[in-house]
Amino acid sequence: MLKTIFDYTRGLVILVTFYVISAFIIKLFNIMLPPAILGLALLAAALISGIIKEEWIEKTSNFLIKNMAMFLVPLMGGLIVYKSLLFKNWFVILLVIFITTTLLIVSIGLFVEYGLKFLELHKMRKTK
Amino acid sequence: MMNFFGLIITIIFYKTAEFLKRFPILSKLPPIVIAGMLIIFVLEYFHIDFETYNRSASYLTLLLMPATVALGYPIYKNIELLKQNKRIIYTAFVSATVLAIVLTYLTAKFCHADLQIIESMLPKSVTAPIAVEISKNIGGIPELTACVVVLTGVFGGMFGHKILELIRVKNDIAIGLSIGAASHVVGTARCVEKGSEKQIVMASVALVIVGVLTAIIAPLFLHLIR
Repeated sequence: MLKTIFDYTRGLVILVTFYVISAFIIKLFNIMLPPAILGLALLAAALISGIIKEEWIEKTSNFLIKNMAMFLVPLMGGLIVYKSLLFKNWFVILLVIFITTTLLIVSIGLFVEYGLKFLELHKMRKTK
Repeated sequence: MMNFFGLIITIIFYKTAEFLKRFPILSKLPPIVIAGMLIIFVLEYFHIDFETYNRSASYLTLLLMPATVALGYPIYKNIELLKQNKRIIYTAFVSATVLAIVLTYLTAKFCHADLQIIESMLPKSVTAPIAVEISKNIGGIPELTACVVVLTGVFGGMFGHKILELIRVKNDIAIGLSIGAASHVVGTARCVEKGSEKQIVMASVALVIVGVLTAIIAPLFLHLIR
């Protein structure tokens, strides 16, 4: 029990530290990037280089990622403040989502599918 | 007790919605949509101020920051996958990001949407915590962004696999990448239900990379067109 609490706290402290350091760097150099994104990249880099051990943040990360949708619910509730804006624009919003998401899935799907096929053919020809 | 009202009902509603997913009629709707609607209904019905609700509920929103940082962990775990087929995968990441931003901007502009709506919609293909951060950064409304992001995810999750089937895309890397890039976590969750391991890993890596790239490219794009 105590070990579990320790594990989760340690993970959270590390993640928050990464966030704070990133926020500091961004302020210092005036970069146009959300601190959490830089924190994400720094965390991946620290894990790859071995500065941070996987098991230090494993439990907390898995917990936070699994429950990410729940942390967004208050924002959904916040839509109530923007009711009139939403009522005025609902059609445009839905239309844009429908068109762009379909186009995006189609183009990227086709690109990767045929790109990989092309590469394979290329490799086969080389080995022959 | 009253102080923690917002926090408590949010958790209860979310967990209830997660439980309701077991019933086939509701299984297509992600819990966040059901929970969000319940909250709006309660606030409206009992005339509760959003401020009052959010005083404690905002603790949950605060957790989005470490949760976003935590997304670095799956990248590290799947680093091997990013070393194969490098050229195609990276080109796909970058073009998905640019396409999403440009297409969203053009379609919204074409429909005569207000600038603030466009700014809120630009990061819509990106996982919500990242999208919210980007939206704040470029002058959008974070609440609207969260809503648009979730709707995009629901759409991609519901129709993504069908669309790809229709145009005969069969490679698991292609399916995972395009669904993860276009409809983030919700689409990825559908890959978990339907697809193979490769699809899931590719989708979850795509959603993080495209998120990071969008954070860099979206402000630049807005800067360029102004």
